[in-house]
Amino acid sequence: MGEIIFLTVFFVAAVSLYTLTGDFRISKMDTSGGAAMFPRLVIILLCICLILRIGQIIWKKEKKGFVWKELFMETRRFFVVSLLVYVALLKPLGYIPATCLFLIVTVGRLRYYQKGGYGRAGEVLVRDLLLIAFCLAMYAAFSGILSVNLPKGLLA
Amino acid sequence: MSWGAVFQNVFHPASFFCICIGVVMGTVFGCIPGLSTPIALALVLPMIFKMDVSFAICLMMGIYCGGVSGGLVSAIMLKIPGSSAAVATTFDGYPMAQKGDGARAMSIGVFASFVGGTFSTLMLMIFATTLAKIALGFGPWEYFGTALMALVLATFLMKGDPLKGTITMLIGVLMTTVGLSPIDGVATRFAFGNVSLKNGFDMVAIVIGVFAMPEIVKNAGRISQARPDIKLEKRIFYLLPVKEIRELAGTILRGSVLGTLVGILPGLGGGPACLMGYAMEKRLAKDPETFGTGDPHGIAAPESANNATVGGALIPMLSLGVPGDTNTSIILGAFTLLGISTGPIMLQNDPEVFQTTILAVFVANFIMLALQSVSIPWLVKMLSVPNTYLLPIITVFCVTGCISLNNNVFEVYYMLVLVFIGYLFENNGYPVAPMIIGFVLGGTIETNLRRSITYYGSFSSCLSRISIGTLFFWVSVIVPAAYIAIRLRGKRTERV
Repeated sequence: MGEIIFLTVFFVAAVSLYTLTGDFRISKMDTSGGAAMFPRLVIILLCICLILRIGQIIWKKEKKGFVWKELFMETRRFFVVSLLVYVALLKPLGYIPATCLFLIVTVGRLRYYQKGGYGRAGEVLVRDLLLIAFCLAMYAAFSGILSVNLPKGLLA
Repeated sequence: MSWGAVFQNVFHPASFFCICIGVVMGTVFGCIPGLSTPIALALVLPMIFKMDVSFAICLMMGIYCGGVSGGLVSAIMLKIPGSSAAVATTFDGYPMAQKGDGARAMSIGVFASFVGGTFSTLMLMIFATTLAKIALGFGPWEYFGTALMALVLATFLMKGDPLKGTITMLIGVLMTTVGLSPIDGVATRFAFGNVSLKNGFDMVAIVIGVFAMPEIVKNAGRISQARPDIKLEKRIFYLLPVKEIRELAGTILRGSVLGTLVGILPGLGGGPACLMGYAMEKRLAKDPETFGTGDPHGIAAPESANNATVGGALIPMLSLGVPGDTNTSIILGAFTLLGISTGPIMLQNDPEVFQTTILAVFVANFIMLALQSVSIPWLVKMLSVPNTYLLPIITVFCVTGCISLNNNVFEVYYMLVLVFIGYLFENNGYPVAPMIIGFVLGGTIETNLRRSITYYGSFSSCLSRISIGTLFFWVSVIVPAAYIAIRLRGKRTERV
């Protein structure tokens, strides 16, 4: 059932995209079939395959469950939430604060999951300082040397 | 300029040093997810202005060779390809590393890369002019047919259900239609008013989102599991034994030939080459079931193929002025900065540049072999770094790498969406490799299809032509049809 829902979402998305292809601008000089030709072709093929797969699941009465819940269990749930929060905070906080926060919290918590504790106070301090140093090194490398425009956020 | 003088140029201490630095830099950038060979090449562009031409060429060729090969390190050790050229290496490289044979997997990959790169460079030397003429003869219909056939064969020869593979492949192809429409350049497709989407999705963000990050998330769930012990014999050089070289010789040679041919065709680079090499080898194997479980042939084939594209991609770049892949696009830009014209006149006006480039690539392959053979222990030692540190750090690299693509956080947002999609696909039997190859080839297929229709008037006119493109198109149709027919026949036999 889960897979049918998953595939149906893609089917609905594909059909929605197909309806949008009618709004593509057309160039009078274009004799290649137009901008909409190829996406429509791909969407039609995709919809056919999705229907075939859904039919296959129903016809064969496939009992193998759709794996999705494990993404939200225990350490994976924490990691996923941590990642989402990190990305959400990149712009408001800035690259350096958001990355430092992500690394400190995630590394600490993963260590807790792995070893049952965060470690001694000194160990935690050294670890956190090294992670902050790593973050600053990343910023220096990407922003300073590669001239990448990393979000400044609060430090702007 | 005579080859003797070119030899003196390339083996000048400064030139040799530039190649070494380039290989080191390329390997590092190639192996770290989030960094890539194009970034390394772009980084040195500002420095090339002040450099002698031969030094600049040596540096770039070193980065190119090291970068294409460097992707195998993280592909084998972490199942995270450093670049799209190492995607297929993860299929057997990672399982082999999981069994404790990471060093052997790396040795196979390094040696196959060396042979592939050296082979294509030898072919470049011997057949440069002839190969350029063949490539010159390919028109848009031939490119369309070749890319379509590569896509279909890779999807149907992949491990897993071809229907599921076709679904993911078509999703990958559909993703290439986002952004400005090629050919007409008028329509902005599926951008929803978003300025960032007008440029379409980025390949690196797709690979990270669909391939790399789901693996990190999966590993996060296994944080409490102990890592397998890595069996690593301590030696100075980690080279394959002669017996194993003999066993893999055929595979490596086939991959090298395929990679060279694929590399010649503009738009088809290391990504499709490694997947095609893997698919071809699996098809020819006596025991194809062993592929995906740590089969050495599954590492040798893609690695020889992807490095063989180096020499192949340089042929259209040097002879036609057409970049073979993203890396050669940047190298082409560097040549322009240096005042060198590539294309048919290059052999007449700047033959020494042509010869220096070839020899620099040749030498870089040897340096790559030597460097990577010696540094395997250091590279394998990365496995001993606890996942508690490795996973968040790699995540930061991946996120930062996505931001660096277009100096925009938007790439991170759709990368995150793809993480969920990629995770669900991967864990429910939907192969994600066809999605990536679909994304890599989708643009080439559409552009050349539309060019063909423009040139010949209609699709049926294209089909009526007697050409390799038509042949490849029909192969692309017949293979899936034959597969379906065989499956249906098998089911009828079962019922009887």
